[in-house]
This record gives sequence, C-alpha cells and structure tokens, in this order.
Amino acid sequence: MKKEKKWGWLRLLLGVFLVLFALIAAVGWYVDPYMRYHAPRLDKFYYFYASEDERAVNPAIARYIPTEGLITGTSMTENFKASEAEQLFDVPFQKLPLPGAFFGEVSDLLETTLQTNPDMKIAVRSLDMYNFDKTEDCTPENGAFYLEPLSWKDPFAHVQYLFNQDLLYGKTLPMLLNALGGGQTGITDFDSYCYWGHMYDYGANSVLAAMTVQEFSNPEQAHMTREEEAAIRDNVERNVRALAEQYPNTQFYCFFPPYSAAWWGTRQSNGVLTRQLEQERLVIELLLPCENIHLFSWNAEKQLTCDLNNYMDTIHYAPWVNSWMLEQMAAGKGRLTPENYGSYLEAERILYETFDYGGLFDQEDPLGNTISDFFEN
Amino acid sequence: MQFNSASFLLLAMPAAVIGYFLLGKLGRKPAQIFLVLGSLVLYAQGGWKGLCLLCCSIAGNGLLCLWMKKAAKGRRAILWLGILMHVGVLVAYKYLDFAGEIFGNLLGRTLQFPQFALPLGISFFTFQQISYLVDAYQGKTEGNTALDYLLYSTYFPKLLMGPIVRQDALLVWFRAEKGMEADSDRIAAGLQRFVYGLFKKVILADLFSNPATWLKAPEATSVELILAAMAYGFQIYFDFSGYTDMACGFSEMLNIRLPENFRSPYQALSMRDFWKRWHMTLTGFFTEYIYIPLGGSRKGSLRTYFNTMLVFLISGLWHGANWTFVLWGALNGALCIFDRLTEKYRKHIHPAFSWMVTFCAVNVLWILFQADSVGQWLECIRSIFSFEKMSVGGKFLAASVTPALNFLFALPGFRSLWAFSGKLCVFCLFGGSLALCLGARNTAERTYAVNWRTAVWTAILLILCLTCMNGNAVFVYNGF
Repeated sequence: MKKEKKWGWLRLLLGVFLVLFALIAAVGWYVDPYMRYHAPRLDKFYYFYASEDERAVNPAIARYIPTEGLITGTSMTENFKASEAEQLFDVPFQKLPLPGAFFGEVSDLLETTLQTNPDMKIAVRSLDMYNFDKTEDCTPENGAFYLEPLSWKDPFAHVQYLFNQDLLYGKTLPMLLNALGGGQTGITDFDSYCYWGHMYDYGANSVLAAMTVQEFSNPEQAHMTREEEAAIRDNVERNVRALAEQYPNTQFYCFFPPYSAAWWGTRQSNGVLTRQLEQERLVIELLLPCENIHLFSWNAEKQLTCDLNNYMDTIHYAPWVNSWMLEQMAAGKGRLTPENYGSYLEAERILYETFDYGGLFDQEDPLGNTISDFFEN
Repeated sequence: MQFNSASFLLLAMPAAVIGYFLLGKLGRKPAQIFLVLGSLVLYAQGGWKGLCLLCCSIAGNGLLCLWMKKAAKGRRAILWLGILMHVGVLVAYKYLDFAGEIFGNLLGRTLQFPQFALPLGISFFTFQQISYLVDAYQGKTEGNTALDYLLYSTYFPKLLMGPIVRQDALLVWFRAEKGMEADSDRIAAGLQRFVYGLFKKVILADLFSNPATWLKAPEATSVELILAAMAYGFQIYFDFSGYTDMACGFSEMLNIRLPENFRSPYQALSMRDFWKRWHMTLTGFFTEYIYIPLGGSRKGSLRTYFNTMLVFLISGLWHGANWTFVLWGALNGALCIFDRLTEKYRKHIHPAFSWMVTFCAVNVLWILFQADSVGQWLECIRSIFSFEKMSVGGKFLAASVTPALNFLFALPGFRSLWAFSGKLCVFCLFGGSLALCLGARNTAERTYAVNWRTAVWTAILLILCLTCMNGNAVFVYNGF
C-alpha cells in the first residue's frame, strides 16, 4: 500500500511535467517566433527581430512573407532602408542581410525568396570583392544565433527550438504577453531591422584603429592564378548568373560595395592589389552579358572612398552611403556597361595604384559624424 | 553526453533506469552489461577518439592487472609500468605543450610537440585506473570479474567528472542483495537530488558565468572585478557541485551510492577546512595515494609541510597545464601550511572573521584559477585593490541577467523594481546565492520527502531547467 503511494509520487511528477511540457510546446508552436512550423500570424503577434536573428529568421521571412523587391547581401547591406528603396523603385521591399555571407548563402536566400515570389521585380544585392573566389556554400561560423532546419527525424531539434531560453523568454513569451495586452501586431520594419548605422563613430580614428597593417607599403604585386580564375568563374556562374537566367523578369541590381581607400591600401601592402583588380575585371566580364543584371560600382569615386569620414572601419561605410547608392542605382548612375567598364577599371587602377595612402593617417576626424558635401549635393 | 542536455534528460536517463531494472529481472549480468554498453554509448557522444582512448586505457590496465595476478615476481615493476603508462598518456594529451614551453625556455629555443584534443574526463578516468591498479597490486581486487572491472571503469555517472571512487566502494553496491529491485524511495530521492543539481548548474552556474567573464574585461572597475570574482566563485561551485548532485542522484536511482564531493565548502573557517569540504574525493585520492605513502604527518613537521606542498602542486598541475595552476596549487599549499602553523594562535579569533578571511582567500585564488597567465592575475588583483573606479556600469548589470531574468524583470511589478535599481536586483542575486551557500542544507545531507508537494515542485523545477538550458554551456571541470 505504502509502495503504491511512492510510485504514485513518480506518476504525479510525470503527469505535472508532461502537462507543463505540452503547454510550453503548444505555446511555442502557436507563436512560432522563427516561423519554423507555419507562416507568421501577423494579425495576432508582433514579430520583432534584431541583428542576431538574421540567419535564423531570414529564410523564414523569404518563405512566408510576399514581396516585390529584396535587398540582400553581407553587412554592407544592413544599413539600407527598405522605405527608401520603395520610394525610388515604387515596389514593396524587404531587407534580408546575411553578415559575412559568401555568394552561395546569399544565392540560397535569394532563391527561396524567388520561389515564393516568382514575379519579384527587383533584387538589390552586394557582391563583396573579398568573396569573389570563396566558393563554399556556407559561411564560416560568425557567432550568429543559427538554428538548423527542423526535421522530425531529430525530435530533440524541436525541443531545442521550443524550449530554447533565448527564444522562449526573449521572444515567445513577450510576444504572447504583448498580444494578450492588445499591443501592436505585425513585423519589425525593414528599415530598422539589422540597422547599426547609429551605433558607431565614423572617421579616420575609427578606420585606422581597425586596420590590420600598421603602415602602408608597395611590395611586388601578385597576379590572379588559374585556380582563382576557375573558382571565380564557378562562383559567379552558380551563385549569381544562374538565378538571373532562371528568373529573367527579375532585375538584379548588383553592386560592388565601395570599400575605403584604407582597404585598397591594405591590399597593396599585402601585394594583392593587382590580383584584386584582375579578379574584378573577370567578374564584370562574366556578369555584363546578362541583360537583367545591372552591375554598379563606385570604387573610382575618390570623394567617397578616400574620405574616411564615410567609414567606421576599412570596409563598412556610413548609412548615408547606403542611401546615396540606392539613389544612384535608381538613376542608373555608376552602372557598368560593355562600353564603359574598361575606362572605369582604368580609372580605378590609377586611383589605387598611385594614391598616397600615407596621407590617410593625416586625415582630419571632426567631432561627430559628418556627411560630406559630396553626398548632400 | 552531458547531464544538462535535453537528450539526456528526456531519453538517456529514463532509458537507463528503466532498461537497467527491466533487464535486472533477468539477472544481474544482463543489467550490468547493459550499463557498461550504455555508458560507452553515452561517452561516445563526446567523440569516437575519446572513446578509443578510454577503451585502450581500460584494456591496457586490465591486461596489466591480469599479468600482475599471474606473475610470481616483479609485481611492483608491473605496477610502476602501469602507473607510468597512465601518467604518460595523461602527459601526452594534457602537458606536452606546457612541457615544450618549459624545456624551450630552458634551452632557449622553440620546442613544438604534437597537440591532441583533450578527451572528456581523461584526468578522472586515468586516476581511477591507477587506483584500480594499486588495489590490484595490494590484492584488493581478488574475486572481481571482468564485468566488475568494466563496470567500475565505465560507470557513466562518475566517468566524466567524478566523484573519484575506489573500486570496492563502488562494486559493493552492484553486489547488494536488493540492488536489482527498483526502489521507489530511492528513485524519488535520486530524481529530486538530480533536479536540484540541474538547477544549480542551469539556473545558478550559468547565470554567474557571464559576469565572471568580466575578470578579463579591461574596462572593468574595482567593484565590478570584485563582483566578477565572486561570480566565478559561485559559478565554479554551483557548476561542479551541481554536476556531483546530478551524478549522485542519477546513480541513486540505480541503487548505486556514489561518495560525496562537497560539504558546503564556502562555510569553511580555514583553508584546510575548505579542502576537507571541496572536491573531497580528489583530496581523498591524493591523501591516500601520495600524502600517506610519503609519510603524511607522521614524520615530523617539516616533512608534513613538504608533503602538503607536494600534494597541492600535483593537484594544481592535475587541474591544468599552465603556470597559473602550478601557482594556484602552491599558494593553496602555502596557506594550508600557514593554517597548520598558526592553528593554536587562532583559537580566540571570531568564526565570522575566520570565515571572511577564508572566503576572500579562496576567491582571490579562484581568480588565478581562471586566468590565462600569472601576469593577468596580478593585473586583476592590482585593479581590484587600486579602488580607482568604484562604480557598477550598465553593461555589467546587463551581463548579470539571463534571458529568463530579463523576461522576469520586464513583467509588470518587477519592471519597476529593475527600473528603481538594477544594481539592487543584481546585488540581491549575489546576496541570495551567498545565503544559499551559507544557509541552505547541503544536498547530500537533505532528506528528500516523498509527498505531492515535492512531486509538483520537482516537476516545476525540471521544466524550468529545461527551458533555461543553454546548448553551449559546458561544465567548468570538463576542461580538466
């Protein structure tokens, strides 16, 4: 009799545990903050996301939320404002950046979006120059909160998702409480999503502190190898051109993010400036034949790249550069064509081969972040 | 597989308990073979290379024991061969890099040795293999079967991080008359203790792991460093004692009682008292296999001090291959010797003062324990005692709360509390934890009531822990 009571203790514990377990799992499934099970209930909850959610939630947004325009790419695209793109191109836009992503990962995201929105009109995409020959499909671990796709073959993946501390206490329960309290519904707007423009200082002090070389030099410059050429052809063919050919009605606005002169100086100091320019020429020549790819570059704009007040480190530019680039793309300025790309490359080569990189150390860094006249005019 | 994982909680642990007792109905052997195989499967989740090393260590040690049993002469040589083999493996995996640094400095050149990934629990299972070998040499393993040996060597609850247990102390439970009968009382007590251990690890240790990282933050103020040092002290205690509770609780469910490792160590009134309460089975191992064979305290004061210092130096090295651990061991040894020397003069000192001095000394030495270098430790101590900056910044406060606490502090009612004073909330967390260390009854000494309240409470704690698990949170002692 007594023993029966003791086993009753275990049964009671199991019962309470299972009820609580099922309750939390059900709430997690219903709210589903990362849209692992179903489309978002935009009329019931407010789905709020920040930079650390990018990799976990971007594919789900691409899958479930319709759009006609998309901005994607690396951190070079995080400070774009979808509302500005909407005004300029006159279609609804989403911004789904993947910081540090290689071409393959961006291509996968674009493909998911295009499968959901086969009539999408515009895709704005960065083509980072340091990624030209990176053919891997996945980006190395960058510390982002990344969840593996859920499969019923692995039930613990569901437990990890539904009972995840960050998700449950950071998203699911706050979303539920917000809904119960009659709060706002919808989704984080694509202007503020992943936007970090207001968090940093811009100027020579920030850029030079982030440099990997202490002084600039000009050693003998290496050339692009056959292996690199093959890798770039493969990368561009698979991860940029293929989608453009598959979706001829979508216009792909691809651009080379305009890194600062400090980055170009570092390339020269590392003996790879010539190789970089040869790689860029190859990519341009591979992309220009595609009619629905609009390729843009402002690398030869000296007032942009050589003024460190536009940068927070050697490659990341200030948000006003993003706004300016959108305007340029909408106006067709800075677009490379079969006719002008030769002169563009020559201007770029002369600029960065002859630039006085040492002078960067003497650049003034005014207090506060200053937008130069170049962008205001 | 770690105790603090959903797969262990929801699958491995119930399967182990149910499978063990179901097979136990067929007889001891099937159940014990199941336990050996299950332990190897769980260990293999940490990587097949570690499993291979464990198997080689067990096989090599087993062969040496057999050889020793059959050998008419040279048993002592076989014992030393075995000890050298185990220590050699430990050195190869753990200390080659450090040895390269020492010899490189002596020779004035860079010496590079191959580096291997440290298998989980290598320091623990190596010591237990040595312990078995010594027992075999002393004839204490007569009557043990191969299955007994495998059970002792692989028993999962103590495999990764102890408690370090002698073969006779463990095997006696496998031979107990009613060992194969599922006992609802023991399952209830074991489960409650397991859940308390899980709570210590998942809720408390992981809570303090973030502020503890501030010990290496260059911008930390003096007060933040003091709090970070306390946070590390809490983290390592809740982490390791939580693990021990889980190991003992899980084992209790299988009717196997493991020795205790902790007896409220932060209540200690002296350093020697602390070491009688902290990681008791390791202290016991060193006492039995090093301190006493060297003469212990039987050969005069000087020899006692020498033996004490040697044991602590080895203990320091056992924890890690770095000068920080050597110095940590040396300072602990020195404080224990000082403790002995001044014992009779301290009788009239108020216990509160003794406790304060001991607690501070332990925490200052913990800073060294986690430092990357002795220089970093000295810099940290200098920053603390400079008392230059006495503020506690918002970043430190933010690092001191987990997502679950963040959610709690965002709820109506609590929100105003956090807004009123985030510092007060964080100080309450630290104060509450200290009160827990000083006031709460040790989990090993508790009696676990079996009634509806404990059933509901345990279920709630279990589900709370499940929702607060951090997939990346490993145990501090996994690194040893």
